[in-house]
Amino acid sequence: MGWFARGSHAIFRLAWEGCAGHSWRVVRVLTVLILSSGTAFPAVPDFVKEVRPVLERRCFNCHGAKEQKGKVRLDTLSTDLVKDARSAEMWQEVRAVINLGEMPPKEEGALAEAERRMLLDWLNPTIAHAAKMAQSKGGRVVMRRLNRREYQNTMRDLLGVELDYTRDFPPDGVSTDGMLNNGSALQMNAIQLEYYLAAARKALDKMITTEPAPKVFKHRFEKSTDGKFPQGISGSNEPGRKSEFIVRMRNDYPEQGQFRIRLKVHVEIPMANGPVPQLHVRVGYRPDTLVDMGTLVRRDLNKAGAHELEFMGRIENFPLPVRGQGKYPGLVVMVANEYDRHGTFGQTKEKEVKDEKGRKRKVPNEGAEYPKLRVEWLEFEGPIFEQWPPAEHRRILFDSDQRESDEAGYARAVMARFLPRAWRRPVEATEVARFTEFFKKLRPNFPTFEDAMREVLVMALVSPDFLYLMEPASEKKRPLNAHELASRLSYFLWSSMPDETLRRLADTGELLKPKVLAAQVDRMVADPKSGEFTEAFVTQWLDADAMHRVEIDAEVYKGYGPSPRNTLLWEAIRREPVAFFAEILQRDLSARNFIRSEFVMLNDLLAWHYQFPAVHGGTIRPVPVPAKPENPQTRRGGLSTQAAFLMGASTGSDSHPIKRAVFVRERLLDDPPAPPPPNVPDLETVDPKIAELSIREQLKLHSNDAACADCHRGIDGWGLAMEEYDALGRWRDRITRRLPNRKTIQLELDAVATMPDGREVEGMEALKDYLLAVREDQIARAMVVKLLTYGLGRTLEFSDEPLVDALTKQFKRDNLRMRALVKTIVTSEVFRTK
Amino acid sequence: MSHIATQSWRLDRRTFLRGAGAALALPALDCMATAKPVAAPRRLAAVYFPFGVSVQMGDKAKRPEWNWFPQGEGRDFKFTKNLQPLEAHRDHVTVLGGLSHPKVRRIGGHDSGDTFLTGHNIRADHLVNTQSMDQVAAAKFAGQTRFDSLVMSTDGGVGEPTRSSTLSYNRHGRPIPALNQPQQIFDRLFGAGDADTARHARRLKSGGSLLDLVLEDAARVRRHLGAYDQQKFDEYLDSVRQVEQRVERAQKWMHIPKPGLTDADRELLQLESDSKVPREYIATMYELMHLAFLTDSTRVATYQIASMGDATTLGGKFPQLLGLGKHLHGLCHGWNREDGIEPLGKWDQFLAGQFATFLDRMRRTPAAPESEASLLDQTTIIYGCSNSTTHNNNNYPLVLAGGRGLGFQHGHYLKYDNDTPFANVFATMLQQTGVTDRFADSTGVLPELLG
Repeated sequence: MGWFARGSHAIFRLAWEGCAGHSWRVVRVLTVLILSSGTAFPAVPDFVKEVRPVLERRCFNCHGAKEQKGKVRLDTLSTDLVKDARSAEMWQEVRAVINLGEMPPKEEGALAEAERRMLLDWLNPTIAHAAKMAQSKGGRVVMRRLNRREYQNTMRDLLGVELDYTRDFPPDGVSTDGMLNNGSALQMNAIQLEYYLAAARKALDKMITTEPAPKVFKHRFEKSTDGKFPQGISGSNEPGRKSEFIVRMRNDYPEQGQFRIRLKVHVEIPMANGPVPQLHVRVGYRPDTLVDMGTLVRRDLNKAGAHELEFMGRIENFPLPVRGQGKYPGLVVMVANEYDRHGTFGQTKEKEVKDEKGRKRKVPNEGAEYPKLRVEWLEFEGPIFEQWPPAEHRRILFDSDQRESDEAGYARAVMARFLPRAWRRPVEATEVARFTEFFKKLRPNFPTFEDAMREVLVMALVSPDFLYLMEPASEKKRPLNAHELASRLSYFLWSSMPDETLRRLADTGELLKPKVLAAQVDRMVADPKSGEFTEAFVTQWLDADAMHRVEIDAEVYKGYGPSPRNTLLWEAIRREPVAFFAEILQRDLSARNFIRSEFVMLNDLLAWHYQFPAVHGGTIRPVPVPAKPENPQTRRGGLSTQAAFLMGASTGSDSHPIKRAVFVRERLLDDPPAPPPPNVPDLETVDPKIAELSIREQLKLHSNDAACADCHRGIDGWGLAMEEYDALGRWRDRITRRLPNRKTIQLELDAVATMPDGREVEGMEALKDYLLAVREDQIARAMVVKLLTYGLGRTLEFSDEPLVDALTKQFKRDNLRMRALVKTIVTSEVFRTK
Repeated sequence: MSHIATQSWRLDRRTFLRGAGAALALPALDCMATAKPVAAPRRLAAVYFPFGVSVQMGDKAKRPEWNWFPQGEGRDFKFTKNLQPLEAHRDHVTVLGGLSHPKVRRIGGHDSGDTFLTGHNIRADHLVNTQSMDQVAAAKFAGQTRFDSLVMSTDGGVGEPTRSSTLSYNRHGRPIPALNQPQQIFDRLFGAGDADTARHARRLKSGGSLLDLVLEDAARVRRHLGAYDQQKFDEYLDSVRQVEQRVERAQKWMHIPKPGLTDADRELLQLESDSKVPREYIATMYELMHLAFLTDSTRVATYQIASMGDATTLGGKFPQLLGLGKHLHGLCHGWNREDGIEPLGKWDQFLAGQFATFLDRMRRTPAAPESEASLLDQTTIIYGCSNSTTHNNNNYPLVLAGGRGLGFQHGHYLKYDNDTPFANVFATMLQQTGVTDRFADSTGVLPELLG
């Protein structure tokens, strides 16, 4: 038997969170039953032969034929929890009183360990199974609405303008498997719809204009503003450690539309293959709210010499000051050379220089290798448009003679073009007609054609056809039509609507051919828009944001409190797993890389953090792992040595072996440990010295209880083997522990771990060996489950089992290559069926 | 956001109170067929924090000075350190001990957050909840204020079942997404809205017919859907209908300016604050609630300070950010550990301090211009958690505050046993606000709470 033994994902995350110091009674782990690795695990006991005798002995006296204390009768209670919801409820109650130790009553004597275990071994999986069945959606995708990311991208692609469309949207509901694109979890409600309505109106106000062409502002700056700025920054044409190229436009700048910044810079790179300047251009500033500037671009400048660079942005996306306010700065643009701004790699000592007027000034001594950036000039121009009204306006309200002669006819033509894109399917004339009717009804009340037209367009954008992935179907499964398939595909790999090519392939029906479909996967993965998939999937699969919810303890980790350097470091750490996944997907590498890889994805800060040989520039790129590293810090590769995960599964002061174990079991093996039962009493920690014990000893202490030991056997090993890495993800040979009295002590490192099957491993590398040798099938299967869950936008069900087996088989035949898996999934029947 | 800085609609406190506060009933409501003028509005609020508190009771208590529940009983009680900040409001609060939702006692300790205001056993009902207490009141008051209710939480949205990030559930038992961005909440309540009023008026009108048409169309679509999709689709239809009602109501409210605020009113508001600075953030959320009541923008408000989703939430990090060491869940697990009691007690105290500041603001604000009574007197507030110590769904730590003008009498510590369902408190709150005298599994109201 094999089930997707998944309770509430949230419970695992939570329950194990606080585990290091307390105990729970055992819950027999349902999930260990399903491992496909072939290891022998106890099966669910037979009710009639094994479970019922225990109940007969211990329960039926009071809750049987003779007597029904508390009106509870168990001997006639149905054991088919799926069909009989009332019995399911009663069995849950039975489990609760057993877990709570309330039954049998004291005078009857507590259940013997074997009895208790027998009952729970049957109750836990049986209840979980029934719960799972109760939530079944018949193995079908439930109509799902666009989530925030998808809405944002869809509006961008539909309207052709990148604006923040979703700022006010409430966060989306998370599914029990941690995904944000699950139809059942993504609910609709009045507030959500209200914001959809407001967002659509706001967007169309911007896209469709009735104003005359705006004034275009053009500026050229050849010299940075002088003066002091916050954080000791001064203006300079040679942005360095303490200076930036700063310009401002007092009043003459646009507040809407696209702008362009052109830059001429001179780059000096003193050392071949040495550090390079890192350009960072920022725009806007709100002195009243201290909202920082928005980043227009961050880029390494890898070539010496003179360059002319050009960047485009949308001014609405940058924090603009309110005109006429005190301390009103106008529009500010700042150009920085971010290379080692925070003195992580190089010299930060000061030296004295004489300025133009012969005055002595102290400036940072930047060192011989410091890569220089000099700005010759900066040009600002905006708003940019080739014609007026701008392209986004004309894309919707296209030029036509009909416009003047027949407004209603023109409105029909506009909608006939707009609707198929917005609704991602062909539309019928009657559907268009409803919009034309609406237009006719509105037009007399609105001063201009455009005003009325905006409302008509808004109606299309709050319709279910836009907000949901609509796949109308009856109770019977049916194959998707080509347009529905195009949408599934593009929301899978782009988190957005299909593009022109997909639409064309859907129009002709070509897309239904598996070969065409597979070819589209290659094209779509190669497109930069696949970054949306990578980011979304990795974030949800690995809960990559966990690291942001841990506050690093700067008393244990000196220098790792809040600081600008650490903000950049955290950012790089957060990007690492996403970049890593992208690399594997783009190069179609094996999923084994998630366990062990011969490369890691680094930029300068990450290389510094991991003590790798210097990497130059802020761009994350693959770097080979030394084959026989002398420095143990550089033993990296795979997901489990990435700081994002090691930090996320830490307490901020130290590693958290239980969280790390749960990460491996839940994310990599798809085998989350069971949650603790209700009202579990905490372990009395009699020993005040407990804080000075190693984690291993602490765990041992509370595993003295047989009940605890049972569960922890399947957990502890996974985390203990990773003890070589601290809360920052750095390799260590001693453990620093902060005691409650704020003193820190040093503990011996011990990374010997007993795995659930009794094998012993020591340290991370041995753990990786173990995973690849013993658990590879399970890892492959887990990958299939996670990716399929995301791709379909629904939780997998029991009925999907055979399919997952088949996909896993194919995945293994493809040597676990990731892009091959994506192809296998999108060409599978389940992906192409409603 | 520009209107924050440039608002030209700033009115002095008195003017606006007259215009938008209690007296708003007089000229404004003439145009509202559904609204009945209420002389002194009755209000209701709920505030929740997760994972329980420091409980140090009985002989085994290690640090009785850090027991959340007061010493003594009845009128003769003494706050411990945990609730010390409430001493200043002693006559406006009642501490309740021993209560819990009977159906929820049986579910996982951390599954109970969703049920704080519903009392429903969601585990036995496939994670489907029932209407929350605040929404029963909101439905009753519907139409009397610009917003039926204000639903807030630190994490925002709905979270996931058993780890909900909202306290409020609609009549179908569906979670109502909580708002969590102070600026956004402020804009909803007080924002100037569309500067072009004529356009605004046209759009309200077109909005109505637009939604009508959407509904009409949608009804056609629904027939072509399978059962699960139909359920999903009904969520959509239901939402459209609600928005339609709101649009309709907005037309009636259109000519009434949104209430203005004075500088004094905004002194505690830090609209740019976010959950990284818990002290400011929580204070701002409370203050938004206070301002919403003060301006009579709503009669019902809920705020979830943090959710049971701990590891995956923003609120879970609060204690770390406050220098109390652990993640919230871990902190709460320390309730019985020598080295864990004090940090947890301090967290309790921090929360009580924030709550006390809110009570203080409510007390200093008159319920209506010239009124002797305070806003606090007209508002009944439940504050607490669905765990006593962590994982334990009995003996909720609860404070009932305010509402003396609604008949509540305070200044006690009342102890109950398991026979009294927590819903009886809700029934009492709902009764005194004129809504109903029963809720969920309530068995009656609690006369001892009343004067």
